[in-house]
Amino acid sequence: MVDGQTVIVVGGGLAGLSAAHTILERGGRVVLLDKCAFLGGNSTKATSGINGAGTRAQAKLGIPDTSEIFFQDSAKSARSELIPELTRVLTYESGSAVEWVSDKFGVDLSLVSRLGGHSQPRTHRGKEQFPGVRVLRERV
Amino acid sequence: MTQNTNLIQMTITMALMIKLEDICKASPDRAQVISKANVKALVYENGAVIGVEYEKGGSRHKAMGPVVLATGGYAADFTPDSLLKKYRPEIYDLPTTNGDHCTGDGIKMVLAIGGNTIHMDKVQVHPTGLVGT
Repeated sequence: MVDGQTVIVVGGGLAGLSAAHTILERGGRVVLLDKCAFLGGNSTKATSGINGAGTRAQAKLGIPDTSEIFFQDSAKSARSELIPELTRVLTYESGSAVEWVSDKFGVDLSLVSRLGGHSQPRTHRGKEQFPGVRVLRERV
Repeated sequence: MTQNTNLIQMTITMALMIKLEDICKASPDRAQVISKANVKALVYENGAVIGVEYEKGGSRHKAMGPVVLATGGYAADFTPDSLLKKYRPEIYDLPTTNGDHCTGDGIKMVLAIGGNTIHMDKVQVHPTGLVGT
């Protein structure tokens, strides 16, 4: 928070939206700018899920994952290109990010899969889908 | 669609979007979303970024305050000052699933004020995209 100033967020994909919500949570003000007519950017496109280590969903499924294991998986993949400080932020804050999305926004992230490069299942997705998609699938 | 296809990314993004829209409606003094606002430059004075300049509706505006850049990558940067062409010319002609907006705007703004970049050659090439769609 900077003396009650309004924070300017440029970009309305998941990163920008997360930044905007975090600013508001901390009692700040925010203006989010996006050059498109609609927000979302690339973030709306289908993907496998969101990675997180040490989550409740994992614990429920008996998955013994930790931020450190996630970090080591990432370090192994990055090899000489690794920037430890950045990867540490990514991996150590991944679990709380998953819980934040789930708790604050009510998104089901209870299904966990193990994807390439990960030594533990940590890619979270949910059971729910958009009703429109379900209908579309049933018709196909 | 295969069994593994899911719209979790859409679901998460929509959830954050809808909640932000709600806050904008309920507390317009606290939160505002301006779409079709093309941020062109950072306002940089005395070694500090204090705002941005953007174009909207054919005119130039300023938004002042601390800045968070979340403009994404540049894998669809087919503009004259293309970062993709500069750093990975050999993959410039490949099709991309990136939206047209991915032109590295934030990166270019930072470079314009003398900022630094890392790993600019690290552009993911994935052999499983839907080509030609």
